[in-house]
Amino acid sequence: MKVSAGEHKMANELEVKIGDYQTHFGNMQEHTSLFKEFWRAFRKNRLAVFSGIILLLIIVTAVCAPLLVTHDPYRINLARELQKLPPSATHLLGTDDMGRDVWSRMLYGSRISLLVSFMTMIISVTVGSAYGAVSGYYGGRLDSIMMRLVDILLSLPTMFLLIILAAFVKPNALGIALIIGFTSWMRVARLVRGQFLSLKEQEFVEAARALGYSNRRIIFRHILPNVTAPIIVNATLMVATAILVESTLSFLGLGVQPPQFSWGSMLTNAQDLILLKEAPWTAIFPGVAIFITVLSFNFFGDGLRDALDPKLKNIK
Amino acid sequence: MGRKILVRLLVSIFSLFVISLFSFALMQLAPGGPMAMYAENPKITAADKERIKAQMGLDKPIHIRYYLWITHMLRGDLGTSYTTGRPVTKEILSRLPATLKLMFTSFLISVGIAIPIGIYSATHRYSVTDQLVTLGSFFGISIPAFWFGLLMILVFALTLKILPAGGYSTPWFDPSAYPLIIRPIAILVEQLKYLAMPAVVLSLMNTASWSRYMRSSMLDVINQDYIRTARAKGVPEKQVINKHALRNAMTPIITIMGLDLPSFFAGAVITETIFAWPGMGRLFITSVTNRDYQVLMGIVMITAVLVLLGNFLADVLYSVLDPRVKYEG
Repeated sequence: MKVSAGEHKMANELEVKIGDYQTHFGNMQEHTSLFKEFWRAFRKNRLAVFSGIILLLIIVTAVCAPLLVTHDPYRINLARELQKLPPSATHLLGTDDMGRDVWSRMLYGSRISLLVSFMTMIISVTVGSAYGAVSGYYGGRLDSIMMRLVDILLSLPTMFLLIILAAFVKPNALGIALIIGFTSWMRVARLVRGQFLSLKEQEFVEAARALGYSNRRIIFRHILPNVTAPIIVNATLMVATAILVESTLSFLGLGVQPPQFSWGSMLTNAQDLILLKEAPWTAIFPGVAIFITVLSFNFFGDGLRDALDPKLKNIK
Repeated sequence: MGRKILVRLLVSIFSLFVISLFSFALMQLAPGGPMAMYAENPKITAADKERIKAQMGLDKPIHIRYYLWITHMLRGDLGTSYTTGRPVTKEILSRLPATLKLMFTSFLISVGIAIPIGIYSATHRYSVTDQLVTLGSFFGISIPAFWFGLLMILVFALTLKILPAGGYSTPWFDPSAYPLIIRPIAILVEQLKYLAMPAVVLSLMNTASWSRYMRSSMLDVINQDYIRTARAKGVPEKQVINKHALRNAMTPIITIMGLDLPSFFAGAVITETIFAWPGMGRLFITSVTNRDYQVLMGIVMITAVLVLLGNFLADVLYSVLDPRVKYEG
């Protein structure tokens, strides 16, 4: 499209105006001050800050796992004197029924648990945001059909389908993330759709339309950045849910297949009451790891929500 | 209201259709079907395999199979189990009571704890108890249910030895061994012994999340004008909370309960597996292992019907509790 010099100038001015509305991504200085404001609010929530530190620690240990292990986490040793050893100086958290070091396995198990959950979060947030954005932006008939579908999917016992799929396909880490991700994007979609419904009526969107920008550009470049805060909060809480779902699947023996393992699969054998009685540490420690990680993600996400959006306080 | 209910009914039927189509396609198209069990057995010849396939109806194309399945289902016939050879309806109906018993007990525990706790937290906002409740609910939603179950078994069954580690009843339990007067108590104790741990484990998640919802819902309500009016009129505080506020605070919780139904069923699958509870959830897991399509389809459909029914009841109850809300489909 050709534009004359005058029109071009007007367009530029409008562009500046749009910038004004989109304060979040206006200029660097405002961006920094917004971050400072967020940090001031977030810092007050000691529990959330503490959880953030714990999470950082967990992620660092997962990345550095090869440096921190004391034994080969995969090595099965069926010598009776190495099986079900209680925690000691050589085996910090004891050994399991196959003579494997629990501490080393927990470090390696964290990698699969975290990897799968982060991938799940990315898939579910991407699908949910795109779906919600389209539904909320175009509105009308399309919106009601799309949302009805979300209602139907939400009323489905998705865990049943998830278990069936995982059992039949025997997926790898990415496969599991895909399965969990594609059954858990609906809440994000609802949230993003709600935000789009109200944001699309605002002036900066009208201005962008007046400039003749494509719908796609308006959706992704103009409106979506304004929904960043709730999406981030949701993504954090999503990781917590994903860790729980993944560990449940693995516990049932439907997660990543041996020799790969996650925290959840470390607990599969503990269903055997004899092992549970003779070596309770094999059941306790991996569970503690899942619990602490999920709890930290939940506290952290809650703190983020309070700091990013004071309006949402007290609402789950 | 009649028309709204009709619309709702039609949407539900449509949902069930979508669910059936989706799960049918998913199971039939996924690799590793029921034939996979025979694939590696050298004693089974190719001809045998063909015969088994034909017996299961797996030799027909998928759309024909779906057509056959759905027309039978509409007549109340969910097919025959591949593994036991019994009708699926019978298989499921024999397991359903155990699951419903577990879910109902667990529901009572959740409501019995979450509602009072939520009210107390809201009316004593920022008190130590309130903060402990908030913390506790975070713990409750973060703890993996299966692990919590293992810990319970470890403590109450293996260490303290006061509860059975799993199962449904003691085979040699004989009520007639007890004097008539305490017989009902003996039977109740016998039932509760087996129910206690699974029901508590299953209720944990709901208790934690419902108490948070109850708290925030109550907080919303007690800041409303009509509560102020009631107080100004001199209505005793207890009555303001229990009569004026509670009813209004309950309405959103009922919707939440309806929405939580699917995860409630999923929780039952896990709990039943850990505690060897002979319900539908355990049947589901065994059928997954055996690739028993027929039973799996049956369970998915029956669960979906129960969930939709639960949501429907929640909506109706909502409009009964809150006359301002006209029933909307």
